Amino acid sequence: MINKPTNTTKLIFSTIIAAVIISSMPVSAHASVYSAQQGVTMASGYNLAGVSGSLTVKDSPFISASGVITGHRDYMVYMNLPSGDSLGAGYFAYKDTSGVVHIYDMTYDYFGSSNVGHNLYRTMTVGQSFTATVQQDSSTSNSWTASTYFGDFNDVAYGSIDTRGAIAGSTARNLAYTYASGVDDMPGYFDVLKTAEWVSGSLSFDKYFSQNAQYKCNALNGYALAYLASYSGTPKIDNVGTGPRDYTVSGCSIANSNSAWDAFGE
Amino acid sequence: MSMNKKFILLAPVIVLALASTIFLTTTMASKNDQVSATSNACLPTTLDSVTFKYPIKQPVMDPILTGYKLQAVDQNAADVFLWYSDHPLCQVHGLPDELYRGSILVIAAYNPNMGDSATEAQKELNNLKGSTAKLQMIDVNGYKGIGWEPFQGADVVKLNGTVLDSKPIPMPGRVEFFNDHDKTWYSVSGMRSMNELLQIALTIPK
Repeated sequence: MINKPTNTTKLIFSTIIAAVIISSMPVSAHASVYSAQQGVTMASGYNLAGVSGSLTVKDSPFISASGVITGHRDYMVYMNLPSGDSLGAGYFAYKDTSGVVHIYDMTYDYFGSSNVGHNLYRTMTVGQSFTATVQQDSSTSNSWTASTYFGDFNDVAYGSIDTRGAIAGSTARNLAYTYASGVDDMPGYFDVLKTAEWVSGSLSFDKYFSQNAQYKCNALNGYALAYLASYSGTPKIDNVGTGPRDYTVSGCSIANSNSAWDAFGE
Repeated sequence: MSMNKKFILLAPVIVLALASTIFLTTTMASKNDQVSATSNACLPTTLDSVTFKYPIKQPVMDPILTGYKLQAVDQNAADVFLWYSDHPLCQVHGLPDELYRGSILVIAAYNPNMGDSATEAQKELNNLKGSTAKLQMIDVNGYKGIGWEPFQGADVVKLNGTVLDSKPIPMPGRVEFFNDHDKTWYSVSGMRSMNELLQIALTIPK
């Protein structure tokens, strides 16, 4: 006679199975320290409901590794949600096996219960500027929409708790490549960086990044986050350049780097 | 005294003056460029500086994960991240990177509009029903929630909906529940089995 497994036996069995799965998963290098990134959170009472920025494709980046994922660059504004998920809007660059760098507009999403997604839409060229936004669909919604060049967008529903944002930010990043002149770089330009809240039923992009309650940045491995301008006094984080190429002096010092507020995933 | 001897005597003075000038210039430029509100120290290791609607309730890690303790607290306007590890965490790497290093993340998020626990958990299950993870309903000391095992996810790049490239990536497990008494959502995440994460969650006081 075979006895049915007890709950304890099931728990032990599931733990063993999970341990086998975890140990078999490849844990590779990740991107968050290969970025020029900044994030803000707003004062209590300001329910963060959106982020926007004017992005310019400053240059075609130098990329050493070919492959759509392997050597790619993300340039985007993003929103981190309380659940630990992220949604971003901006553009994406990668180098093909012939050595040609391709640039597309992009929305980005990171779901803790699913995947990391880069959604590309249309080819972009150096010099193009556009406004990228991530915003809540309504003041009580857990759905958020990322909009990028030409109005290409992605509308994503997250968890129950995600009816407001946690952190708004801008980032230029790659998976695992240290800056090397003419080999790997991240030229980028972000301007008019703002956050939004709901005011009388309408979404209002009413604060600049510089009007934050708390700020964190990250620029390591040779990358630079240059502080260019402020539209509300100081500090000059409403207009930033990423580099090197054009921007080589980082306002974000290594001493205050903290990648915890970069867009989640990768 | 010859010119050469004069130069040898003055050389240290010139070098010192140049070094001082460079140091002062660099320091001042750096200070002007930096943002005063930036945190330039390690994250706090206690909840002393945290302002939250209700006292945040912490798990007891020992003996489930021996040697683990609260190593970093990171608060923003919407939630509080509590990082537990068996090694010091001055500055936390991003998510999920820090979990790949063995850390456990507990998130506490206050939601004044939270309904009763069972309704919220069912809503969460519906919200996340398209997930790659296999979602399971859980009960944490009477509060309902959902959880999932760590799983093999993917980094996917699509061009107008067609997959251009995909790379497998490990995704952390999680248990989350709705404390409708405090109107606080708690989640416990890590590269650990759901059972271990649930055991940790069960130590969070009711």
